[in-house]
Amino acid sequence: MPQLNSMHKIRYEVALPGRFKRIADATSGHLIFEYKAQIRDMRMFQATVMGLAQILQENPERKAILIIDESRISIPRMTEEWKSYLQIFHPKIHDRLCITAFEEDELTLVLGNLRKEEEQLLEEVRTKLSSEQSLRKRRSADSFLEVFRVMLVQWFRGAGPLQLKELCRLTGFSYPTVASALDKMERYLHRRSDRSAELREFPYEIWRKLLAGNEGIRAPITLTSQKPRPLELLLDNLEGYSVLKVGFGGIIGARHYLPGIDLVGTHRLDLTLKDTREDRIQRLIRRLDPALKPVEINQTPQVVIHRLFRPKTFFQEDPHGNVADEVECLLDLHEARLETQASELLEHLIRRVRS
Amino acid sequence: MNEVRPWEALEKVAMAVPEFCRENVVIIGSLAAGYAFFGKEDIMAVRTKDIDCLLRPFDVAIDKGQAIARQLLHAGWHPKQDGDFSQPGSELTPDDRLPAIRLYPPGINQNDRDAWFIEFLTEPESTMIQGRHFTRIILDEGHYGLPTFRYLAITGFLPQKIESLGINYARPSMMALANLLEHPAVKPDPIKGGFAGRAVKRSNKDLGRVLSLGYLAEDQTPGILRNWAIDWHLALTQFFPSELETLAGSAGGGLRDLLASTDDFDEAYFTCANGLLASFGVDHETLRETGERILGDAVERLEEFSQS
Repeated sequence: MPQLNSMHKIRYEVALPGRFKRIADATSGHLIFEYKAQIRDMRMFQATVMGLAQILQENPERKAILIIDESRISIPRMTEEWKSYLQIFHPKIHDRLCITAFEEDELTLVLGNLRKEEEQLLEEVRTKLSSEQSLRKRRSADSFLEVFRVMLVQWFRGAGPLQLKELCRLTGFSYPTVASALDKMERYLHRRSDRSAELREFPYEIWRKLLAGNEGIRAPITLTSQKPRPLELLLDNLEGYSVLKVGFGGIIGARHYLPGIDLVGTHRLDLTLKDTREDRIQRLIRRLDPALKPVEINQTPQVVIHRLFRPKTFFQEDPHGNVADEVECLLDLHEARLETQASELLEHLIRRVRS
Repeated sequence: MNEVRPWEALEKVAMAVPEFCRENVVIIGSLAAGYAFFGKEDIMAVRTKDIDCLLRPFDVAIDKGQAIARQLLHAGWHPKQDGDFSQPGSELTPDDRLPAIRLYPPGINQNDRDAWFIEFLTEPESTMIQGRHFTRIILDEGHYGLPTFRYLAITGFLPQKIESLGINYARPSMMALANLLEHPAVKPDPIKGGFAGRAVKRSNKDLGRVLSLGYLAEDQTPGILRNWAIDWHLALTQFFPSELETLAGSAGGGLRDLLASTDDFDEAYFTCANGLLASFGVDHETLRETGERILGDAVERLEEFSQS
């Protein structure tokens, strides 16, 4: 079998030669990667392995690595299945097949041979493909909002103009989508010849529209319990939590940007999550307080979770942890009906840009 | 059901127990919970008819049990006179037919509305026993048994001492763990004689006790349930090191069953509302939340700690 050349680039969605006309999720040199997230039943698992076996039969120089991410199939069950493949497949096939499984970002299972340098590539491929899967879930209607929010954060921070390709990278949207979103905020833009753009002033009109439709667009997870625990305790429970990238929004985040903001105490906990996977969000909620449940009509939420779909979080570091970006915090304050504090923060941020 | 003021009863028991035996006595059950959460507050009474005293360690349980019973009887405490198992056994009585030592304080008529009695139990000689088991103890009056259960020793793990009285009481977390381990599933067996006039499964009463302890613990110190997992892990490592993972894995089974069944949960709620939580006005939903917190903060963390 060819040795892995670490200089080989990883390529995604690669058409493979052979009569089956298959597309590999990723390749690197002779390696083929197949990525499957949250497989629920054994049939899907078996079909994927069979497909890889066919590819290997047609490509005798290649090796296939299957990545099973957060599956409901147990490790013992996958191991049993692997043993049966050792009986069924010719050694020329199964020697070039490797099945790996991940749970909570940890490699928990390797069936077959996996070399050290292959493991590094495996991690890279999995990270890329798992984040792409969550991005695909986004509605295209969110694209304008997302581009607008990034432009606004950039403006609040006085970070200067952004090139279109950079904006694509930060938002995770394609060039035409970003270009179309920018067209809709044209009157507030200052465009440059190098295909970069920045906001000229605070876009009050778009901002008001955004606030009017805020709740429907953001669709936060709102939670409470019958006998709520003190918020300080929920914050303590988050300490050292690294499975998900979490940013504090709401009043906690607002205090980061404006320490003297006029509000005593913290009435609810707003969290912005980088990860959008349902199982991980549920685990986070359970860690905060296992008694938290979705709010019912007329109930006030104690915890509000916002999912961030774009690749770049714009979180800021704070002694207490990451803080969500300025726009997230403003939207949180409005959502919590803390209009006075939201106005106070907005004025402060605008003043800061102008000074 | 009888209402007992924890401090009054504890004082009475402590004063009656010979000083050299006090360190071997751990008060468990409702009274221990009552004292743990209400302390000397007179306004809080505990609904119970028995005060359970765990004699430990097992090696000295018979000697100390004899000494304590002798002194109590001498001081006018008197055995239960009627009902099943009210008469002492003899050398011919099989162990599992022996009566437990149950003594009423002097001057108390066992038919009084607020009558309560003290009952002695001990740790199991071996952690391998299953179900209820009796250790024979011989008094001048005849043969008695010290009942025990497989997980009873856990209730005596790291007990808390009432310095002014010299006796110990069980940690609520340990009583909760013993009950959880005893009920890895909701079993159909009913409590003999029912509970406050209602037919109730033994599992539902014991798991209801876990909910009560969890509720009171959280009420006193929000978030304390996460510490329970640490206490539990220590206790299982001490008493069942070779079964740590298995027992940790099964500890939450009964509670999960209970939360999944409306009928079972309702029975458990009834025992709480007519027992330790009688004065708290806790509703169904809040008690259910307590169950979720016990599972998430304590049981699941115990499972994590115990995975090899």
